[in-house]
Amino acid sequence: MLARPARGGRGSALLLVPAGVLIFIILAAITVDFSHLYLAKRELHSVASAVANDAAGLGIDAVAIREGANPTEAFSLQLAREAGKASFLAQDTDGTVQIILTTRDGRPAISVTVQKQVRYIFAPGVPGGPSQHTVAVTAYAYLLSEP
Amino acid sequence: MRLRRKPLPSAASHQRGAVGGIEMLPFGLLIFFAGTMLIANTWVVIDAKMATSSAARESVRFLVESDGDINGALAHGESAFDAQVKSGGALGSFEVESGGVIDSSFVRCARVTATYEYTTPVISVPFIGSWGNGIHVQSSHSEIVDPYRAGLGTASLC
Repeated sequence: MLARPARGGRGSALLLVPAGVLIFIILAAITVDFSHLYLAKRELHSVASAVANDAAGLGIDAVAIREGANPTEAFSLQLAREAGKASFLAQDTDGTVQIILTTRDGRPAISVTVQKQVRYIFAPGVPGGPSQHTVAVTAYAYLLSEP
Repeated sequence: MRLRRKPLPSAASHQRGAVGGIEMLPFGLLIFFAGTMLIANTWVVIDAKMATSSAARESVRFLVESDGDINGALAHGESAFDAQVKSGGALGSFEVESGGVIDSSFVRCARVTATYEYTTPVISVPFIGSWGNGIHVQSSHSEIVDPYRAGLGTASLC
């Protein structure tokens, strides 16, 4: 025997429509906020790559390379840091940059980490919602004599 | 066996509960349209910003590493932009800084900065209004000309 639908539920779909619409908009807003974070991360990655390239290029003594030294011997971390900071200032961004000499996959490399606070667009409108998020990106430039 | 005719339901019984929430429908739809348009506008700006930053980066990379000229690099950046924003229309420009040290500015270690601008079309949103003729989006990217690249003369800033 099938149960009869409760008569008290009639018309409740009308109230569910605005609730569903609101949920749809909240989900879309969350998507936009995360896309904004992704955009910031992509831009920071471009910045970090540029800083790493510039630091590696200017941190190596070209004269020593032409005289036969390998890139690690001809490399000066201080020069690389100065070049990297100048490169970071030339970018259209804010935040902090850290440049260190490291090894990656057994090869000498410069590691550039850029960090920035990114503000959410819609989340601050929610009571108790977060207003910003810290995005950190690391890029590497290898010190190799051959590509 | 005696057959009895089933009484027809009254017309009013189907409308029970309808009045209780019907005024929410126009409000819900209005919030839906306004919210969707606001989010669509925001998304357009984010999309345009992604495209301009890609265009700036690709054009600078092209210029500092390859043997191409500035016009080629601008075209390269515009292609990168068009790949994301189909309508195109980005305006790109380059600045090459040599510090006035040498006559020819495009030399090794000179700083090259590309800037791409785009004005996104926007829709007017209820409650909020319009943003004039659109929202202006701008991205730039800067790198030095590769100190070890070929295709340039002996002049250098390194």
